Amino acid sequence: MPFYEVSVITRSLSKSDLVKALTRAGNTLLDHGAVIEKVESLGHRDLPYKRLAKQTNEPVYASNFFIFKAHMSREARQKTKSILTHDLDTVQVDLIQVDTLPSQKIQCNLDEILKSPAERQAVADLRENQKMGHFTRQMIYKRTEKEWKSIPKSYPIAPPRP
Amino acid sequence: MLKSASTLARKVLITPQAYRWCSSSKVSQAPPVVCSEDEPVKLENNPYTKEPRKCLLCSTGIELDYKNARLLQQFVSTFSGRVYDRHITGLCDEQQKKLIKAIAKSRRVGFMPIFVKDPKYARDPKLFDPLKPLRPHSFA
Repeated sequence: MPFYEVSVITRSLSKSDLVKALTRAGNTLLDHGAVIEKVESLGHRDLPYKRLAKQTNEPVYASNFFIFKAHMSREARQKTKSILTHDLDTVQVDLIQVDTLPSQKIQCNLDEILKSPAERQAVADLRENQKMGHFTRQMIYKRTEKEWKSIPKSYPIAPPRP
Repeated sequence: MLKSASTLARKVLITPQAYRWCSSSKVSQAPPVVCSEDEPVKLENNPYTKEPRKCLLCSTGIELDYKNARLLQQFVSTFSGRVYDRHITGLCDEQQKKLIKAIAKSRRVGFMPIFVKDPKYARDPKLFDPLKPLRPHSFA
């Protein structure tokens, strides 16, 4: 089961309503067979832009951010997402898959990037197996053609007979 | 000068063993080279080579996270609200790819404004100067 982070942004609610909204969200996750690892609060924060609460259409400038860390199947993700987004107390809900595997160590290639193109390996590789356009190919052919056409097929004056 | 040269030639003719000629036959007869402590030491790699330069995130070991919207917005233009390209940010290819993905996630989740940089963070310390890019633009 993939690991998801369910971020829930509620509309501005009183404390008791907030508890109700969160338990509802958690229960919908559990009903669809999710395994909740952790519930985190990211605090009461300013939203990056103004949102409108559903039905009441009251503007929301700041609200509570929550994150559920849960394992669930892909079908459960789809269903719970549609349920949670249509909840009247949420402003924004998104489920984001997080890689549980340890990330591979990054090979920093900044040094390579800062080299001049003549010294860069990527450019050398490009040169190695170059793709030629039709026009370039034709020009090269014509140049070589000129060379072998300049060799006379027969002597202008016949060579002396043996 | 001439005189000294002639005397040297005479000496050589008289006692040829005393002078060693630099010829190939003589070199081949010389005993094989014996390793001693006084011989110059050969190093495998140059100790004066510079360490390869690393990008900001690789050298500090900071992981980009979509929840850390403030860090992500340091890579976003104050003027246009768009992510700066790698020739300005000075990140390696992998980190730039990660940055773009993290910003996309953060915007989708709603932690980050989409069209602008949050004016709260406009005065955050500058990580790079967009007017002095590290490299010329790739399309130029």
